[in-house]
Order: sequence, then C-alpha cells, then structure tokens
Amino acid sequence: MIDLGPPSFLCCRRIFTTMKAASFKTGTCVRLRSLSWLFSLSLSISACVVSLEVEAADYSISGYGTLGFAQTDKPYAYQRFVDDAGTFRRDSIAGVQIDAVFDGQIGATAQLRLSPASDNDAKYRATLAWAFLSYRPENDWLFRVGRQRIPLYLYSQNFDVGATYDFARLPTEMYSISPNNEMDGVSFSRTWSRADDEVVLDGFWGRSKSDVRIWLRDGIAGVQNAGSMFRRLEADGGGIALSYRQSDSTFRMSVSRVAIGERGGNSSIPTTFPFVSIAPGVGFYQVDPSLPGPGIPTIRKFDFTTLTLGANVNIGSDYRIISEFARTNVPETALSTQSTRGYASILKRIDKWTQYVTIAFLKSQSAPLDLHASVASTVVPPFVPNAALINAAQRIGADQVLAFDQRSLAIGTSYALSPTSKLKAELMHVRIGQVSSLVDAPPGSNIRNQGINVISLSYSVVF
Amino acid sequence: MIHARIRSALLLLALASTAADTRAIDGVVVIGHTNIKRLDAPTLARIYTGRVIEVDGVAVTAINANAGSEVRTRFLQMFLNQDEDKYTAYWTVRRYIGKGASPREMGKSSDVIRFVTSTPGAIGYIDAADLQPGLNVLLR
Repeated sequence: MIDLGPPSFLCCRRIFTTMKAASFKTGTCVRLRSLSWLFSLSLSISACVVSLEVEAADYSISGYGTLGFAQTDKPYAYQRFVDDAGTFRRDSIAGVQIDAVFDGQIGATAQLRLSPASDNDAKYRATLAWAFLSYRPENDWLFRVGRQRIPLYLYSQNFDVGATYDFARLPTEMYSISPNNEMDGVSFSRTWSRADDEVVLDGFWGRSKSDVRIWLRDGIAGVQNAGSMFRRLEADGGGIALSYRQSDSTFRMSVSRVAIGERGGNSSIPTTFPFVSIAPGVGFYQVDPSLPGPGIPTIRKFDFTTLTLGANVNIGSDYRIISEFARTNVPETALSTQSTRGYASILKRIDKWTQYVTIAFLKSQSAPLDLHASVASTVVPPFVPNAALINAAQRIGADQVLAFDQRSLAIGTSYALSPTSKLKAELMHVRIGQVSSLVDAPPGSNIRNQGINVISLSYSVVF
Repeated sequence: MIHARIRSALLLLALASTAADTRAIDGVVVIGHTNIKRLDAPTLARIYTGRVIEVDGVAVTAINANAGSEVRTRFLQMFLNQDEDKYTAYWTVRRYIGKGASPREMGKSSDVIRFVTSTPGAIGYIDAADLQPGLNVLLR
C-alpha cells in the first residue's frame, strides 16, 4: 500500500473525469507536484491522448469488495489486526476500476482501492493501486507505463479481488515479501502462442514506496513508545517473469532485484548491531547510536533479490494443486527479510463448492534469526549503570530485526454464489518457532513456540 | 419384419438427431465487417477471450450478446466450449489482472448488424434466423 498525498487524488480525479466523458476535448496537461517521474509521464501521455481528441471507443467501470471477519484465540494481534476480539480490518477491502480502450491498441486502466492504511493501524485509506496506460501494437506484445502491480506471485495482479480465487486469504507466509506490491514504472509482456499452450515473458522496471511495519512490544518512557512504528522505504529496480500455460494449468518463475533505501532525507540502514563487551561474559548490543559502542554500521541502500516459483495445475477429476515458493536474498544487512517461504494447496471442486487444504511456511535465514535471538536474550546485570535502559533498548533492537519462523496448516472452503461472488470460510493453525514479525508480541514477553488458531469468514464480490 | 421396423425407427431417430444437431450448429452465425475475411474457430475463440486483437493486420472489435441470452449461451457453447459462468469468471479474472474488459454487449441482433456493418474490424454473432442477405458471414 502506498501513501498517497493530495497529488495522487488529483490524478485519480483526472482519470475518472476523463474516462467518464464520451469524448475528450481537454488540452491542458495536469501539473503533478510530487509523484515519480514515470507516473507523471504516464498521465502526461494520457493527457496528450486526451488533447488529441481521441474518442474512447469503449470504457467500463467495475468494482470489487470483500467483507471479511477473522478471529484468533490469542489476545495479541496476528497480521496487524487479528486477535481474540475478532476484526473486519484484516480482510475487508473495496475497490473500483475503470478500463478504457482507445482505438483498440491503446488503453488506460485505473483502480482506486480502500484498505487499511499502510502507515497507520487505525485508519483506512483510499489509494491509487493502478494507473497505467497500455499499448498493444499486436496480439503478442503489451507495453505498460504508470502505476502497476509487480508480477511477483501467481496472484500478484488480483490478490485484492477475493472473488477471483477460492482461498479465504492468500497464504500470508508467501504473500508478504513486500508490504507494497505496486510500482511506478514500465513493463512489457511478450506472448508466444501455439494451439494448446503459450509462453509469456514479462519484464518490468520501476520505483515503489512502502511502509514497513515494526512492532515494539516494549517502550522506553520518554524515549520510545511501545506499539507499531513504520519505516518509510523506497525501492527501485526490475525483474522478469516467465510463465507457461497449457490448457488449465500455469507454471511460472520470476527473478527481481531492487535497491531499497529510506525515503526522505538521508537513508541510513543498519547492517547489524555490534556487540559491546563490558566484562567477560557481560555486554550488550549497540542497537541505537545513543548507546555507547563502536558505532552502528549503516548503508544507504541494500539490494533485495527475490526468486519465485509457482504452479497452478489441474490434475483432473476437479482436483487442483497450487503451490508457490520464494527465496529472498539480502546479503548486506541482517535486519531485513532474507527468507525462504512457500505454500502448497490441494483444492477439490464439487459443483459450486471448492474445498482446500494449505500448508505454508516462512523462515528467515540464519543471519536475521541469530541476530534477533542474540539481541533479544541479552540482559546486563543490575550493577551496570543504566542497566534497565540498556535492557529495554535490547528488546526494542531485537524487535527491529525482521525475523520469521512460522508455519501454518489451513482447511477452507469457498462457495460460488455466482460467477462473480463467493462465500468463504477457513480454519488455520499457525505454529510459531523462534519468532515471527507477523505477530505483535505482548509486552514483556515473547511468542516463541506458540500456536495461534485463526478462523476466517468472508464474502467477496465483483460487479 | 419387426427387426426391419426397429431398424427404420432407429434410422429415423438418427436422422432426426442429425437434423437437430445441424439446427443447433446453424443456430448462431458469426458476422463481420467487410474488411475481415473468414475466421477459423480457434481464432474466433481467441478473439472472444481477449488473446487476439488483430487478424491479418486488421484490428478487431468483438461484440457480445447480452449475458444470459440464448444466442450468447449457444455461441459460447459452440465456439468457446464454455458456459456463461465460466466465461464470466474468465473475464472477471482477466479484468482484474489488468488485461482489459470483456467485449461490449448489445441486446438486439439489429444493433449488432448495424454496428458490424458500419465499423471496420467489428465482429459479432446473431441468431441464424436474423441473418440478412449481404452480410459478411465469417463462421457458422
């Protein structure tokens, strides 16, 4: 989810206004203030198209929504919002999309989405999820410029649209590589079609903004509040995805590489926390520059490489297997999400019902897990000056390491009320190993080796 | 004698069945603007699933009958081997992966004929009973 300021809504209003009109006679380009140059470029192109008085041959408006309820058996939150009180915030979402086609080859798509804010746990926010121009010069080539979805997963493009798949919730273990899945950039798609199958190569390059949520179970009075905090990041880079489709089955793989840094001001990202030895067997980690120590090594940006594999296979008799796997590699800092993750599902369709069983896992590599364990377990004895402060800082430092060690088993069902609406229900058991940044650990405690049961009910529709 | 009658009855049933099949196949006629040549069924299916937007260098614009209409149901069955639910679900996914919207819908055969004859690259389908002389029949 992207934090959009007023300029984005300006763009949104413009697209809505222009697409609603049957003919376009606007010659003035909208001045954009602070969006990325590519997004500006796409809208400028749009304005130019408009200024040429090109009539929209066809346009259509559609919408989607999910009303989802989820509840766990634990008092602390899982996936930001879900606890034993139950919530609609985790899975409820709505959006509206406009598709316009100019002369068959040039099109424009915009999608406005209402969902929980990416930088605030208490707010909902409308964001411009898509705003791109597409150019399809012939059957097998497609080019896009503007805000679009990064093709990381099997369900990258439509994961907000619950009516288009049977899972109550796409496995979070897999679908949490990035908190934001949109970019402002360019992409191409080349298709090689044969009678019974096709190969598609997608490539993209762009820039994205995201807000990484960090949960601090404990604070330090007057210094740092406990609770959620958000790190504002930006990434630029690109990747490719190769898909093979045969009949009713799809196989795909993707590789992407982006450079990530903090946005606004000077980017300074810790690579690790150095250990400060006070006496033999006694010491602490310098998790903040204000603590004594040699200084925290930082970098301005780090490379984030992601490899994904996916398959959605019809194995006959109305059975289907869907599976994805990802490996993220972040060699330059131990605080980020270098991990292995994936899931495997088997689905069985019986008329309008589809039942499924899913197993999923998410495990960080040893560097972040070891750093988290070391920092979290560090306690200096009371005779050390400011021991309480140092110990509290250790817990805060540990919580800033994005570390995951969890797996889950889910059984669920969906019922197709119509081709455009589904009712879904799911029971899931999540098993935490050492730690998981998807869980808001309770104050003064940890979530090691705990189990969380989650029940989810939802209704999804498109119109 | 009895065997002969049974054979005759079976033959009549077979002929009736064949005639019924022929009527079903003839029930929908695909028409196009005069700048489009004849189409084969696979290409037609690709056009109506959004995977083909041009044929022999001509940009095509497909027209659908209204969802749930009898002629559309027969068209989907004959040329796409799909039912309405599958077709709607297909385009729902396709729209939300950013691959465009399903073909524009028109309710009356007369509207389809008017649009197809006046719009270069247009393709539509009508009930065979509504076929008029001079229309460019692409597939039937």
